[in-house]
Amino acid sequence: MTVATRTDHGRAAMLLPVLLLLALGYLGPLGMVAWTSLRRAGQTSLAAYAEILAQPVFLDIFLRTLTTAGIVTLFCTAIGYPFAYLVATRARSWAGLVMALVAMPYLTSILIRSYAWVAILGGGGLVNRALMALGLIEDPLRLVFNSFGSYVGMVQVLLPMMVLPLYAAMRRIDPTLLRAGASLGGGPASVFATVFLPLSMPGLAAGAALVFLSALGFYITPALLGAPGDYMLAQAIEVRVTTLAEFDVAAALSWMLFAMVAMLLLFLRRWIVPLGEEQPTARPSRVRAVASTAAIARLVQRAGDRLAPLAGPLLWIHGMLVLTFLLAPMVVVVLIAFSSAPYLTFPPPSYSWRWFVAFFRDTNWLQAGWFSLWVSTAAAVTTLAIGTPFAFALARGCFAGRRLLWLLAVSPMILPHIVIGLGLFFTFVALGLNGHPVSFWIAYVVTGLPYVVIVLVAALGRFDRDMERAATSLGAAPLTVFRTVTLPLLAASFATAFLFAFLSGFDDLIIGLFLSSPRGTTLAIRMWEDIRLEISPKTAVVGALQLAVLLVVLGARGLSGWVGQLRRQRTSS
Amino acid sequence: MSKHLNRRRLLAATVLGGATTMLSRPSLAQNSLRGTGSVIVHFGGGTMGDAQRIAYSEPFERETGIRVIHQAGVTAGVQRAAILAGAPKHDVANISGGSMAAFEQDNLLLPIDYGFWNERDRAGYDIVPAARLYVPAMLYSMVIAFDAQRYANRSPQSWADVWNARDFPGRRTLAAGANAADGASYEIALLADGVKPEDLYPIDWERALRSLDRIRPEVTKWWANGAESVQLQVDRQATIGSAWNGRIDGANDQGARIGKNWNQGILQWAGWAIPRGVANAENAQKYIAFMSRPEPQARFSEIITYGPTNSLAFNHIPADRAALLPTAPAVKDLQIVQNYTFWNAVDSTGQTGLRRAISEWERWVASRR
Repeated sequence: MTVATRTDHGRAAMLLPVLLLLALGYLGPLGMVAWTSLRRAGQTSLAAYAEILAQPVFLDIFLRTLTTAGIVTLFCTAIGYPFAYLVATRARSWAGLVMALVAMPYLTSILIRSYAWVAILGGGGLVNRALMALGLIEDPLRLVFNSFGSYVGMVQVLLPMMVLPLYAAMRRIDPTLLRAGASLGGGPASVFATVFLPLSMPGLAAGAALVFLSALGFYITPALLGAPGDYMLAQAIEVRVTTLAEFDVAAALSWMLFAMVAMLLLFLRRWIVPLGEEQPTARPSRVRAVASTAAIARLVQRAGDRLAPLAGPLLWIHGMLVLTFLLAPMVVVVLIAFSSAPYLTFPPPSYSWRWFVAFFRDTNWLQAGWFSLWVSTAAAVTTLAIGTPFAFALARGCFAGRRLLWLLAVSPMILPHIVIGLGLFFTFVALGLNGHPVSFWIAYVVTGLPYVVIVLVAALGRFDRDMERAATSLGAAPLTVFRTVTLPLLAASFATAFLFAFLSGFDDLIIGLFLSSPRGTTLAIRMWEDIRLEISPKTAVVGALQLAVLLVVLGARGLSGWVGQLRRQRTSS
Repeated sequence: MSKHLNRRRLLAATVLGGATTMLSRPSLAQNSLRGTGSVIVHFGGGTMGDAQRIAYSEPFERETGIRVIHQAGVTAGVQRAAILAGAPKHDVANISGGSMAAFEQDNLLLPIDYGFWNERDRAGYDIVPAARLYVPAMLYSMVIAFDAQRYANRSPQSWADVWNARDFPGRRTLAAGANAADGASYEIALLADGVKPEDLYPIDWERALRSLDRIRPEVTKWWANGAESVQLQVDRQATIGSAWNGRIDGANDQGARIGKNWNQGILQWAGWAIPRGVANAENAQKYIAFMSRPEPQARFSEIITYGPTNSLAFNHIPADRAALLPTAPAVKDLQIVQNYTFWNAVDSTGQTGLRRAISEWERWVASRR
């Protein structure tokens, strides 16, 4: 009895910080937005909902948004899984660098990133020019300003969300299990299908959830790279807030989206939310289903085993293609940063430092850059600090309502940020925090939380707790166990969670526009202010600088690792 | 934006502005705008921001001792939310003409105090009058934009020419309909279909969409924002389309060669206003009063080709520069002033023009995928 009470208290303490934060920075503001959706002309009414249901075009927009997010998720899975597999199993010494490169697309402003794709895919773009030079085509192919362009842009940005959690999951797979499988007579394909694949499922589930939920909120990329028909729900909501100021309809649309996605998640919860001890594979109904197709599966596996020698080269080719795909726009951005042209054009007529000079002379930009950096870092640290115990409590406790708590913590990703921004703004004004840096901090903890919870819960879902139990049985205190056993094993997952949490703040424009004031303006807002009417190469400088910082950090890490290795060799000899 | 090209212009503007101020000072008793504290004003960024800083904010600070804080502009919806929450984003807000009526109707603005103005200036607002709750800030026009080299022999003279892909082959770009009034695509589509300017309003949505149907195969991209409209032409992704005159001139200043034609341009404006609940209302009044003077307005139009709203400013603008402005006497009457009253009025379906434009666009893109 006392033990149970103590666990309950412990669990409450682990959940509480997140719950307090969500109450203040999320549920309160959203409650207000929900109230807005029910008010019209000073009266409570369902008019906003009725209006939406009366227009069949909204059904079309809802379906299009869900299908697009689904297709993007499929593409990211098909492209991301083999890539993560390659890095986790065959290129581990390069993993740090590769994972950093994978995260690169985030580091540039969305407008300049989209411009880079136009430079690559457009009528006079790199791809068409290359194909025409090779004589493969006579007229340029239409590769952009249609759904293809829209998917390319979305997959590039969302692929890291698939690859990083997958890689973290694959890294934790104990190679001895694979060897055991092989020693029992399994061919490479059989071992992959029966051992590796199931063990990597939590990473896949987390990646799919991140990609799908993020894709639901996309609208700038489809608007810039797609056809007019690639009109997403988030755009319909955005235009209703910014142009029409119809907050009630915008809020009603958001809640309808939320309800649809919540139902979908609850329906798929066993696959997407790997909580507690129950494992999706252990269910009898599925075992029966598996048995009935076992014969076919065996045939496929046998064929796979025979083709296995081809897998290596194919994986490497695929890996190179993926890196090219991810980095080609970055190369364009870096070249543009060094452009000598007064306006945006690719390829640049010649190269110069002028835009770097312009950037470093602009104190507004430097101040905003510094503000973005520290406020996003503070938010990411906080998110990790409160999100980690929360994720542990969810993943390891068996208590009622933990799926709902997961959904709650993840939901800031489902609701369009413009609606969250609206609610937060009203709340902060009421609390006297309008324009205060603290308001950004709270907002970015809320938007960073879903990433931390999805990534960590997935990582813990298949975590081998025997390691911790071993440490405990040897007398280690719980915190020591966490520091010496859990943390190192989950390092990649923590890094991924931190990175996404940081970037969700650093990259944010929509919430920032509500919160900005002379006391706090982010770099994203400064860039937006400058490129709304004219896109200048100055925004490319920001991307190039971020790349440089990343490479310096990685270089330093690589160097220190190398020096450490040398020292160890010397002492041992 | 081009620093070196613009700097020359800025320098010229500063010299000219200084000269005119010196000339006019002895003869005119300017109202004293001296004060203390600060004022938070909407800031446009880019060349627009340069123009605002040099023509308005810096001389205002020198003359009045009031510190100007530039704060990034926000969309009408965000500004509205901010006023409703009791925490407006700016003491001096900039609101597009298409959104102004909604702010007026809902009583979200403070009356302009014309007591701070020099008497003759208010009468100078003869194209769009300075009103009880707002003052027009600048005039600009959505015009025909085209590749000056490609159509050097015969350039498009009307929106019907833009629709004529046989005589003017090339990819098109027009504003996406979700831009509603600001994009002016519905007016443009009707003009292209032969509707006379005086019959433009109320907009015949069906006819406009049928007209857009015809041009649709030629449109490479429906642009989402002003930057994109010109960037597509700079990159030759499109060679004919619509764009704001100031954006075309801005790109040409930096070496692009985009032609423009004022004929059937849609003349639009944005206004300065003081939201209810601002902390520095008096300083805001003074900043707006300062911007109403012809000299700083002339300086503003020297840096960016947006027309002065006080026509007295033309007395201070060299003729060659004046010819580039949408309100220049020679071109003013070729254009059509956008009817913001229509855009904000509620029609028989109970919707404003703005809302109707967005719903019709959403239906159109869905039905003809």
